[in-house]
Amino acid sequence: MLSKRKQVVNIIGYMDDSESVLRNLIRNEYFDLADANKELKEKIKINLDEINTLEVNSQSDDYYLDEVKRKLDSIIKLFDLKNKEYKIYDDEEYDFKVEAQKINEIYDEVVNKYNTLHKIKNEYEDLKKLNNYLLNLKDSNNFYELVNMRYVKFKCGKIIKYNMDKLKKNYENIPAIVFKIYENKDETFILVLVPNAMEIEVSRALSSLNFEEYKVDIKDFQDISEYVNALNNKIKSLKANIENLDKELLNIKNNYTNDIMKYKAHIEVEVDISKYKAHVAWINQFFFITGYFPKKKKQIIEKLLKPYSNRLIVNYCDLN
Amino acid sequence: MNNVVKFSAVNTKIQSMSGKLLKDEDYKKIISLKSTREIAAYLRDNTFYGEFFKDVDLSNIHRDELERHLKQGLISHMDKLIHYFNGNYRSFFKCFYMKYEIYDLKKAARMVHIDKSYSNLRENLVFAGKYRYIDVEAIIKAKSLAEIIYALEGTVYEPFLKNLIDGNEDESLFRFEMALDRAFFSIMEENVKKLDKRDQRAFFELYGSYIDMLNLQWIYRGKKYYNLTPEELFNYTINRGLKFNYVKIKEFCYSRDIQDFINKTKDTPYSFMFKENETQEIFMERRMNRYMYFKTKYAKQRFKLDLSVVIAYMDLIEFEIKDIISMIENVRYGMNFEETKKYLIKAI
Repeated sequence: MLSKRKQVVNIIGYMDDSESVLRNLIRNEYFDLADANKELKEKIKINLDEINTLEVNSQSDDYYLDEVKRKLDSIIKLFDLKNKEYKIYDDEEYDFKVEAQKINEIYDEVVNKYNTLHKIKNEYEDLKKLNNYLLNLKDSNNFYELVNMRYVKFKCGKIIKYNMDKLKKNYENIPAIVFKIYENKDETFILVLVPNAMEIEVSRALSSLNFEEYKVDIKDFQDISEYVNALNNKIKSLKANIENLDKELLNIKNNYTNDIMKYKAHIEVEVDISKYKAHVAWINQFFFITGYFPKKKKQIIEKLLKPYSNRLIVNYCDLN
Repeated sequence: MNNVVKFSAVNTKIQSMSGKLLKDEDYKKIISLKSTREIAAYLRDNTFYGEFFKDVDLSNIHRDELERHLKQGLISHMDKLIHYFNGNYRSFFKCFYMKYEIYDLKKAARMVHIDKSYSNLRENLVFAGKYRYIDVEAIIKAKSLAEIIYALEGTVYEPFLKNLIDGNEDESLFRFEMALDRAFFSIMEENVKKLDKRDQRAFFELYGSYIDMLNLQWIYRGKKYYNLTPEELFNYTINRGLKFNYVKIKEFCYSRDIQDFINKTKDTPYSFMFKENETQEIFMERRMNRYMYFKTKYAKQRFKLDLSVVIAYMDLIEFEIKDIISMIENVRYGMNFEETKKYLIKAI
């Protein structure tokens, strides 16, 4: 009974039009694509593998699509746009190659800015911690004397608590004196005094504890307070840079949110197309698509194929 | 929420999913096949792995591609199970994605550092960046281990890796791998602390052995091949093993030489790792995996109402996938049944 209500459409066209035709058809809810290769093999006894070896659904296309999709997903993740939606229309036209190019451009710009922002934020946070570190030194005036010691070097820095615990458990074997300056929830800030002769050994041991050393370039300053002032100025300038980059990223987000969601909807269609391509038969420079739809919806199918009607051979027949 | 409510549904689900694990007969059949394509076809037509590559043209399927589909299957399993949890338990299980991500990163590092193979990096990054932001494009472009580490700036791995860029190329891959494992267990430990005491115990009962074995393996390799100092070795070890406290670990690290170290392992449950024959190196990893295989299998069979069943099930799937990959490799090298068996985690 159901088969009497359905109709088959066979479409032959030039390969250049295949993606556009396929895109129009599969976006429509009434059209069901059938396997054209199987139809040819079973009903007309043609085995296309013996006629040509054209690899249309090639891996490189898939990888290209995967790459663009991955970039778009990264942008959506970075801008936290996953809850935004875009309604795609049946007759919506677009050029995916142009959109892919645009996605690449947005991705490069966003990732570049995001990475720069990230680096600056890290530097900003580190300098704030160094500033805090110096403020926490009980006797900062004497700290200046450490710079000029002949046989002992000093290292300022931090390690995570997990590693501080490791350091404590093996402290008797570390040839250095370690002072805890202060600590927060996750990290311990330490001052390490190392005899020059043992510097390599201690550096290796500290490195394996992921010790993050603060470079305290204090030699060019008269005293520690002058150094702290310079540090504060640097912190202010980094903060201004962060605010600028945040604004720029927000502008990109506001300007492109609609486009990004549109690209997302289109790329999903492209992914579908790449899957459906396996159901299209290819003979030299022509394609063959077959599928079925409810008889009552024939007008809709005709409308979908209209833009290409001059270049297609379309045959409608009953399903049997 | 008590453990009956928390685990009865997910354990029942696992009970039903476990029926789909490969049987001995499947292993035997796969070993008897002659090519990656035949193995892929067998998996597709006879096992639940088929659903992960049912639309794939198998005529030219390559080992890497099949491996990728299998790994995607692993993630799909995890996705199904994670929905049963929320709050701290969900965060805990999300750490397992990190475990798989680390597999990818180690593989990428090996390809770049040892094989100098840069073209297939993208295909081998199945898990990386799927669940949190990682600049995958930067990893793909990497031409050295240092560039991979730079690409991981801003990720959870950064604090564990950034000190590795010190120009010591010989040791860097070894230290990179150790640092990633340490990152995993350090983050895992933070998450485990937020679970109920009973589940914390269940976790360390299972994974404690794995931590012990990893520590022994690292100390062995660090001493034998990389000449790391005892202080470095100790710092790289992972906390919270099952059998060894830090005093014992220190004892291993400060062994006089390799022989002294191996002698010290002889009265531990892990003496099987060091057979002191020519198979010691080749099969060390497999021996560790097989020990864990029996432990996880036992944990799953006990069917306790704690997180051990879920972890055990995920590990069993992982071991099975590793075995399939081994079997594909062995088929490629034309090994016979008896020879192939030696490389498998599951005893058949």
